[in-house]
Amino acid sequence: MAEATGRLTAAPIPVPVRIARRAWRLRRLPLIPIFVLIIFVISGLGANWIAPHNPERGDIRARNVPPAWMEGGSTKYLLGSDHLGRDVLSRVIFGARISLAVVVVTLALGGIVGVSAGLVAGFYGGWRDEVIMRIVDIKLAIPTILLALVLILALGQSFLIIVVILAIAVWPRFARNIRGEVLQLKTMDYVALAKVAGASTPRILIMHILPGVVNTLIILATLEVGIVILLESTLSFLGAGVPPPTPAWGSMVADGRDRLAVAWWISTMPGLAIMAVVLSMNLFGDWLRDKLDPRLRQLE
Amino acid sequence: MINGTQATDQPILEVKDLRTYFQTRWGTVKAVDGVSFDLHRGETLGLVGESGSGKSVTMLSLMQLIPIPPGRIVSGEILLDGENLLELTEDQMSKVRGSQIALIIQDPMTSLNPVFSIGNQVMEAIKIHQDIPRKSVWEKALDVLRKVNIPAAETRMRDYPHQMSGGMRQRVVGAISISCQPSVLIADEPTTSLDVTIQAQYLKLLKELQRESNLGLIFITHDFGIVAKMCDKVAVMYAGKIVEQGTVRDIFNHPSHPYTEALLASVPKLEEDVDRLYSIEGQPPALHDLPPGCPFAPRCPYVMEQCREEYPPVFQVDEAHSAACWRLA
Amino acid sequence: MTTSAGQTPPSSSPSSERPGQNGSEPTVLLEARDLKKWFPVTKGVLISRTTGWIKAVDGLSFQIRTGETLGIVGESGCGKSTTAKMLLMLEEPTEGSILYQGQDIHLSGPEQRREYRKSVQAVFQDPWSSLNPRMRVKDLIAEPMVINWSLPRQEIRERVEKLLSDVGLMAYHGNLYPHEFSGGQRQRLAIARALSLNPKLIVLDEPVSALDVSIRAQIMNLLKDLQQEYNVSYLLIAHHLATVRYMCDWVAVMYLGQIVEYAPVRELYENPSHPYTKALMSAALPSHPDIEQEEMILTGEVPSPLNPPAGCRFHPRCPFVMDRCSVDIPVVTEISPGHHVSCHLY
Repeated sequence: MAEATGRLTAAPIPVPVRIARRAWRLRRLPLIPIFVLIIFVISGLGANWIAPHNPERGDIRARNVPPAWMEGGSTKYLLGSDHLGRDVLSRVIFGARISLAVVVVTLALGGIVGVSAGLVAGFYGGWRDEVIMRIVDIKLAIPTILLALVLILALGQSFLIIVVILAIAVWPRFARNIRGEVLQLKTMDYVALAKVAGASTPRILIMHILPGVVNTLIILATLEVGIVILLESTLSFLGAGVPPPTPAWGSMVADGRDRLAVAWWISTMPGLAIMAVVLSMNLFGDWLRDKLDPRLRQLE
Repeated sequence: MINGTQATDQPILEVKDLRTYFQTRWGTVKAVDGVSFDLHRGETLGLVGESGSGKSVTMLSLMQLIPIPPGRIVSGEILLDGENLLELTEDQMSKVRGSQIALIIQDPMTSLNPVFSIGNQVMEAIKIHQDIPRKSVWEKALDVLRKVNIPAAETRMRDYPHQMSGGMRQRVVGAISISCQPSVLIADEPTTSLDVTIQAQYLKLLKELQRESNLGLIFITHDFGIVAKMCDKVAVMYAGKIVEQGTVRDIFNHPSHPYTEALLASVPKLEEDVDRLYSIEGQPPALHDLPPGCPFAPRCPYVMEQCREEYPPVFQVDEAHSAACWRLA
Repeated sequence: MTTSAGQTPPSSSPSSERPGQNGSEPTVLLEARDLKKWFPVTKGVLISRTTGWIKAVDGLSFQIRTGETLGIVGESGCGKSTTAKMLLMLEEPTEGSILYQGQDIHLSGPEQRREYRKSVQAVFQDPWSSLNPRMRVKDLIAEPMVINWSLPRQEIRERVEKLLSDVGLMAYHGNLYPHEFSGGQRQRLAIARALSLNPKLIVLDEPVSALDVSIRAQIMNLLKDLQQEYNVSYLLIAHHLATVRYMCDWVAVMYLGQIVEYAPVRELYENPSHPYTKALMSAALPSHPDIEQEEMILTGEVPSPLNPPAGCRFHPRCPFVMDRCSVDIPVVTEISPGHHVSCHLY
């Protein structure tokens, strides 16, 4: 097929053509997932301004108010209110903030640890590789929830500890995939030529290896977002998440679970939020993976 | 060598005005644009060209292995023993492939399946194309392996590829490709360069195969050395067209198209010192953006006004020697 | 235009350019003495022990002179790439020494080693893998200078433009990324980068074999021109014998980690003496259909360097094998000035 595509010439490509090409490449943008994710991010960042009510203070007179479109519902509580008279919509919006914060910090932490470990293991090889990969294997063999519950019992329950636990859960995947990528990149001739040109090891890692793993990193991160949100929700559901009364989606689902018969919306609304965000993130991640690197389809 | 009796024979393969186009995002790419040649039994044709010249697409068109879409054989005839392959259904064509036209790939490492025994793979090739009883398939496979001079063929049948040397594996690949007595064998050159001694073994094997079954042999290559050593006839391709065609001595002694001439002058010689090679400036054109007129004009040292405007017709230089260049007008 | 290179009489190249016949010999730039590289074969994962050695390079000695080209030919697995890596300090020799301008680089201080590193650059075979796809061309070419020299940005930019024009490209090409170039142009970029530090020696590892035929002569001629202009030496690693004849002044033929024949280029091609060299020559493709070649196709495979044959390493495949070949290691004999062969026939 190389025959048919012909060869590229090195004449400068005019800017409009470049923009047009880029637009063409983006043509199958997953619009709905992107829309959902934008709402998620805006809710998370602007919860203070957007939420109609204080999520932690309830109105005893307005307990278990159904959503606005149902009989007995009120536009004051669009998605209804819970057993303590707190606005469900506001709690879902504030829950987005918790999820967003957890995702960002967890991925930053887990990503940095995982990428560094992967770079070192892949680039240096030898005993460093052995040690790092065995730790990864051991980590992957321990059930995450179990580990999390034990650590929380031992260390207590706080945002920082939750995030550290989640980072522990995600870094091995980063390490393993980045290592694989580095193993391939370091055999490229340009890495050998950089050594010949006198480049130091840190320079080679930063200038020649790291840029090559960025695509993998972005794809991995988007796919990990869903996992992190689900894990955090699970922990919250089990009562081991961010401590109440801060509204987290998982603990909201747990709160409403005994009242499903009387007020189903208390559990269902945060549940739907979890589903929408995770599904959108995965769809977006799949699309991104196909765009950036179709080779990675076997990931996950 | 073309000897008198063969030249008067009916050609085993005749390609007439073959055109294979690809639909790409840059527009229609005329990868093969009006290619005609013929081949007799026992004869070797070298199809010479660089990447993008259309030689590989020509080969894929002969086998009808063009991915459709984006590819499409727009027009032409491929007559194998008088039968037009382009009129066959896919089912009929898959019978032709391997049994009448076979493709041989030079790299013995990648063309054998490591998990099946040698005998299995040869027998598989026979079973696909021939309806013969199980017992005789074994006999036949053995026979083919003997034909390509594999020593102790009977015990070798049970061996796996990794148990054989590279040269032996090459022979097995050769055995598979001739197992159904094809009349035309297409040898595609690998993109990675092989060691000279391995290449010499391979070329010798092909000569043997050809002599054994009186095959018509087509070499898809970019190397004039292979042409000099192996071929009787040569067709030089550039930008989807055959620019010059003739016997191997016509081409080497009196190259008539400037591209052929330049290519020959740009290859270093094993046998003599060359002070300075002729270097063809520029690069092969992009097929989706061909200049009007002769596509070689921008790189041609003899370029004339006319060349930039109109594609030259094919001029007969000699009985079997033709070239498409305005200088011959 | 030379209508056909065949019309150029072979004798037209001035003999004074050829080595071995010149009165004032060029100075030796680099010398390898009994260079060896053995790779351990290990068993076990955590506690590993060495069970054998792959003798990739086993006792090489050669010289590279200023402004000249030494070619190393041989089949894959003969150790030519390992040799290149040792010269580029990508591999440490197991034994032996590399003398650069008379100094053993492995015994000298870090300052001299740095100096050596700057003086020896490389161009590799695959132009798709040898340029970092995520860097702009101007940064790629400038990188060696940025690492090794403290030059103002303006001067680096001017030098990048000079290098681009030296290899036949334009200044605006500096702003593009490697994927916007064809194979031949990429190889030009690789050459520009290799030249950026004004090296004394460039290792060329199959520099044209991945390119289109019509582009190869461009690159070979460019390399020859640059050699004149920069007075740089080349170590050319290639398997295509005609290319080596065109490019080189001296040729070393390697087989299983050792040099079997070493001679000035014309002497080697006109009077190949080692049976292996003869076999290579007869297997190489002719430049004209009327050239008759001696039929001498080698049987068998190159043996494993893990367990090379005793005596002469070529003896199991040699058509002229004698009794002593499997016992005695042949010594290097100078059969004519500069022409060294290690074979019991001489």
